Amino acid sequence: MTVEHKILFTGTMGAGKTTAIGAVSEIPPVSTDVRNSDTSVAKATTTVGLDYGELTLDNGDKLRLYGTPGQMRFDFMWRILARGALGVVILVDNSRPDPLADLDIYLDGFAELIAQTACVVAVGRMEKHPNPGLDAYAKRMEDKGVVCPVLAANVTDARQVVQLLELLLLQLEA
Amino acid sequence: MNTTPRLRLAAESAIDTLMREIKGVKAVVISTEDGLELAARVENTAQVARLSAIASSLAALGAVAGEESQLGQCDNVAIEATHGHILMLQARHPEMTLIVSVVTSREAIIGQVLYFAKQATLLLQQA
Repeated sequence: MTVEHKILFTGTMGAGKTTAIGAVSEIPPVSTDVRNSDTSVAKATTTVGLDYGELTLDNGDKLRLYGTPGQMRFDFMWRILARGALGVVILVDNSRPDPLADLDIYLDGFAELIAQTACVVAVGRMEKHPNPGLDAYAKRMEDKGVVCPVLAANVTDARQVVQLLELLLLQLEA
Repeated sequence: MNTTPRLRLAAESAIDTLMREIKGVKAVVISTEDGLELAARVENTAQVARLSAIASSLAALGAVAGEESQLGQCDNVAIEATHGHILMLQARHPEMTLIVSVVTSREAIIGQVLYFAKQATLLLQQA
């Protein structure tokens, strides 16, 4: 019997949620990107509903991958998408002004889901923006009582996205 | 958000018309397709930012539903709730796509709301 899991990708606008799902999805991803009119962020489009993709793992398990909108004004979608999810991947963009504060937003926004299931934090753009380091992220999560893996990742690379998902599922098996 | 004064004026004018013509109207919000408010007239201003973002998500989901069902682009989304209606229409202006959200009580006649909202949206698109 095929086992299906619902996994969320969340994080700030531009952190790579749509890219991550597009990198690994076996179906053409469902996207709700529209033109971005927020001039404070240099990005042409932004997700306002959800992203959706599917991935079958080597063991036959099927992952249904949902991406959330990044902006807090869409937090009602966070709650809708979190229902029934087995875990969440938080993508952080280290080139942003205060990526640790960004992390807080999603740790708080998905606190209930994280407490009940599993979470992985993936920090992007660390090659050019090494600070804060992974230790700072680990410390921040420890301060909030959250225990989950944090690692650097480039979500344009499908292998790295699969690695994040496997890490998430490993936590659930533990 | 970069919008021309002309588009803002057109949005204000559309809101004036809808507030005047629709019986039972409670709020009209015009927002960008990524959920930022351009103009609004509403009983409770705290709801404006929320409604703008919700309209953005619903319009985008409606667009996906239309495309996936091979029914073409989504022109409007209608919600019938216990105490009223919400109608969200896409206004495809050359400068940017906008979403016109009209919230009414139960006393509003949905056909009438749709008619006036479509007329206002058409004018907004041509502004």
